[in-house]
Amino acid sequence: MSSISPIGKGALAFLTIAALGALSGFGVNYFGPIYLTTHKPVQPIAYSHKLHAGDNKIPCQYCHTFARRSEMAGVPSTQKCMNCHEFLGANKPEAQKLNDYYDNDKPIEWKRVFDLPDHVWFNHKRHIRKGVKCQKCHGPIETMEVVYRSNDFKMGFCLSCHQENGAPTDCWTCHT
Amino acid sequence: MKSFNYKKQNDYKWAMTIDLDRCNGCGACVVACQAENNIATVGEKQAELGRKMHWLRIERYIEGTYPDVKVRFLPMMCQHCDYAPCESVCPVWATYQNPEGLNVQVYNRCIGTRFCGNNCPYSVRYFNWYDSNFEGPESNQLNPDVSLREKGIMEKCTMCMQRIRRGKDTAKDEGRDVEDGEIQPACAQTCPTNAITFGNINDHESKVHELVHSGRMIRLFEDKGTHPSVMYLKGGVADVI
Amino acid sequence: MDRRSFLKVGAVTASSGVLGACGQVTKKVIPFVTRPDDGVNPVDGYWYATTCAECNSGCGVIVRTVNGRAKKIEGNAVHPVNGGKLCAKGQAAVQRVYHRDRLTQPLMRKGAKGSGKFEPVTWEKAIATLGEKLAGAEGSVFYLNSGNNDITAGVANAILGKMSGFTMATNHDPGKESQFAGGATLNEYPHTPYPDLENAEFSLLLGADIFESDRNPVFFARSFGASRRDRPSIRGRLVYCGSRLSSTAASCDKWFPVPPGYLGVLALSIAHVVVESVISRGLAQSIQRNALGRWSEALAEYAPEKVADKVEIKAELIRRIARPFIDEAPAVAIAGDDIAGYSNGVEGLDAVAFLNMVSYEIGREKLRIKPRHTPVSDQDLKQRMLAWFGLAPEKQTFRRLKELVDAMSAGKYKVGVIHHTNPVFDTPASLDVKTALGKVGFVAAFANFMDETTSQADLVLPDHHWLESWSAQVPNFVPGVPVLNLRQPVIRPFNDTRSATDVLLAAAGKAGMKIPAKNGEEYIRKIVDKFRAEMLEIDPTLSRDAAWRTLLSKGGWWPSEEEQEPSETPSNDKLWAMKNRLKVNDPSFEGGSGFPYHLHLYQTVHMGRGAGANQGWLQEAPDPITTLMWQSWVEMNPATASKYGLIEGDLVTVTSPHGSITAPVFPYVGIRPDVISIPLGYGHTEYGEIANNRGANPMKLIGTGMDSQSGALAWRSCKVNVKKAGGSVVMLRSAHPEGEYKGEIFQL
Repeated sequence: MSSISPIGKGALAFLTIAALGALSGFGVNYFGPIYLTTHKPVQPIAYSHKLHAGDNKIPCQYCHTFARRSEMAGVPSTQKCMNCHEFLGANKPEAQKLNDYYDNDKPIEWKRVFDLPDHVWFNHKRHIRKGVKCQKCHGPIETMEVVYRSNDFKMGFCLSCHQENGAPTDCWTCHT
Repeated sequence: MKSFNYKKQNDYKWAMTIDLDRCNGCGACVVACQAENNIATVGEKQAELGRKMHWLRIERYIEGTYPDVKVRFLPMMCQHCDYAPCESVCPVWATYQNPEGLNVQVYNRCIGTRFCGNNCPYSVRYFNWYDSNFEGPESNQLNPDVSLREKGIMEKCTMCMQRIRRGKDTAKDEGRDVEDGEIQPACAQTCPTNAITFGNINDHESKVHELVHSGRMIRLFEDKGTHPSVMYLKGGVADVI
Repeated sequence: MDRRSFLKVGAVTASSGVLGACGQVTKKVIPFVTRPDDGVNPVDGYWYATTCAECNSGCGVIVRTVNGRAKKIEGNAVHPVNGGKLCAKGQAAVQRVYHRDRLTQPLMRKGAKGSGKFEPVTWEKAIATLGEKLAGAEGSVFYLNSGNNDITAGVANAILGKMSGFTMATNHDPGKESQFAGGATLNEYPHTPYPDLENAEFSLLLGADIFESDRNPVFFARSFGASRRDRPSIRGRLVYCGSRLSSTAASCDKWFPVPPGYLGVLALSIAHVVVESVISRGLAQSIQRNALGRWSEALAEYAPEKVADKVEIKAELIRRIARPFIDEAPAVAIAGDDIAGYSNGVEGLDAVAFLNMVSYEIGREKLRIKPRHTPVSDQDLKQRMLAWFGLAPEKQTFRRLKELVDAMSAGKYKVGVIHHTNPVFDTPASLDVKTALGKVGFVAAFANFMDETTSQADLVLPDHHWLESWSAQVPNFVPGVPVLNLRQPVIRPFNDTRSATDVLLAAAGKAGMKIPAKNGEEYIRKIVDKFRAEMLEIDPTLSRDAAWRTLLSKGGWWPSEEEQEPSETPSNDKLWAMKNRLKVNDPSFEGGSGFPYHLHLYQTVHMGRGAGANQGWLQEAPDPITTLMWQSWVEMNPATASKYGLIEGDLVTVTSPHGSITAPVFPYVGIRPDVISIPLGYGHTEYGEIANNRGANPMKLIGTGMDSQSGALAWRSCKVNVKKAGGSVVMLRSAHPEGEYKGEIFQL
């Protein structure tokens, strides 16, 4: 690099920074939290899937009732939680939080864990009806005290399974 | 050479007919398309630069001189060509022909070279010069089935892919094929004169198949060999009285 | 920079990028508090039936709501008016619900009257103030609306109607108002009978812009499509006569430019040919020969040869236009704005009605299916429905509005209630509603947006959008069948607004006045109860609630197809007595020799009278004929424009005896050289950012001249002069981005 003049060095530095800027943009998009398998937000209520789905063996679709009926799995309404928690564990602090939400007619603002990138469309119903297990995408959710994203949900993740099972691989099956 | 014998591989090949004898140019389809597909309005300044986004527009032609004037309307959207000129120039394969005969635009892949728009003889591909402007309360009207396109990518008519998808989904749940007329793009559903018909041309019982073979069918720029899936029905006679 | 430092910088940039994004990425999932029905697909959402209120036509709609937000409006497929179809205005209605300019709280005037300065007040205070004013308004109160026959008008009538000196007035759309006029004189109908365009083989549109501003553009468009291509071997033909080739005329096969105000003469000339032909061919066994003789005598001066110069169509051509009315059935003539908008409007409308009736009589002779007229029995039902609403069937025209405004100017009114209408903007400026409103003691305005009229009020009451409120409507112009439209809230109110009906009832209740119901919903349910008691069409085994839900889920009530009696023509007594009315006087125009051009105002499909001007979708939707967006324009024949050295985009000043406006020129070959045409709806000044200062309001140009018989506004009887204003603007034409295609790509 000794042959490069000071001006040349400046230009090179500029170019490098520009390239880095572009790269970091790419980094945000490609390695951003949406793809991080460690994405594990703190929820307004410390709900434990391990306790409900694992220990007490409540079926997934008891709460996520729309999973077999619609594109969305659906997060249960507060009323649904209250079906049990009106009586069960009512004295526990997290259940009290739930009670407060319900009594004040305030929706619970859960933080989203499983999310897909823009322009991707996913249909729960089709997969459930085909017999795909929830854990295939969501990981060992019945063992999670706090839910985290267990898969990266990159296109390869979807495609490998689609190819194995002869599911359609046309772009517009999932994109637009 | 691609094979277009969809019947062998696929149940569906979507096609649309637009009856020019029925169209009265009212523009209901234009607004319906905007409402269904979350298409942004660009505003006066951008419209002046020719950057409006209507996926579906109505071309208007004035023929003749006063007093023998004839005005014609021609709704124009992506023609979903079987041999689409836009596909061959995309450097990143963001646009291609899908097995159901639709011309696909994959937003995730698009890098915004605008080659496709330049190569489209119908000028029906639109480039996002800005992020869409549904701000404040206006974001509440957005259709949850359709993603918002960001700055720097091309977009165009999808034949209301979200509706096709939902129609096929419902049919699959019920263990049957999609029925004729079950899926309607937003433009066809609202068209007050019933000028737009959408359907599966592989189904020989379908309305669209009947209309295509009515003897009135024309394709735009037939000589360019694009072989569009959107077909027009001409009509009208010269002497009326 | 060496390799090591490159890596360092790289690592820092990448991680900061991730951190930066982490901050924004916490998307939320917010479920319902109370469980929705399990059977509903939360993505597809709910579809509710209701009734569009973007104009007064009364199209049934279904609305898709997802997560409590209205997403898309579609036509209600079972509704007899629009049959699942919708126009651009209806499609754009969701944009008004979530509009950034919506009024969100009640406002009380702060500054001087008409200053447009307001301060927010609570609903309690607003309702108390309104109640107080209403209670003390004995002898001098008016209610002004757009004539949509809804329950708010019924409630206002029920509360205020008992007071002496109560005036109920409507600010009608001039395009629709004219249709009252046509029905008023010839027969007992409240409006001109609907022509059966659908089954006609030949339709003669006499200035009828049926796809733009007539009774119901969607219904006419459906009929048009059906007449063109629904019948296997018959293609409906249409001919348009009028001074401008409108977008309706563009859909017709042929356009004849007829001088403004002479279409009635043309109709009588065609009638002359028909009558003479009946006589000469001896077709008239059943038609009273006396009548035939009388008609022939009265029509003698309308022989094609005698009027050819007046209507500027060759006598030979008039005879050819008349031919379908004689021997090719079915043919129908449709009258519209370009007949009704002149001082001889009613005469012209009567002439067209006469032509239709004579043609019908011949058709019955030959056992042809003939265009239908509104059955009389159904009109009786409509009157009953209106009575249930608490509304009197009135043929209100512009004259009534003018009387009201004159009385307002004279200081006769203590209190006025204005409901969703903007007369300051959309009535002639020479009527000067603005000054008149300043002389009313207290004006309360129900509105969704601040506009030119609302800003003149003392109390602004933000109403629910129609997607958020209960209402019901008996539309004025329905094709053949009477319709009871119901409107239900499909979404929760987005802002702190309240329904006008509820506010009126609450205010009157608070002031100790007698009120007909607690709220709007209860008022509608009472109407439906009367309906069930009197009509028995709804399954009597259904409980009150079940019947109510059935009606709501359908969107209202109308006779099912089997129940619709075959259309009958009304008794011909009036027809035989037509002799004295078979006369169309020459039109009279405002403006003397200094004003050489006729001013032809019209409504575009998107803008209407201007209510849609604050919607981006409608502003950006290109006008069908000019393909212009975001601006208004002045249409001139290229020959006229070149006389003044004007090319597209040049600014021109149009002057009438009443005022002048400046707008860019659009040279258009589809307009007579002696006519200047300007669209309504542009030139707002207080209607929000999107609408304001966009184009010019041509209502500044016209006077308050009326048809002397009907009292309808003669909005096309003004003459103007033009002058080059200097300067030009860019015309935003939505043409093909790379220049227009030429006709050769589709040889039709």
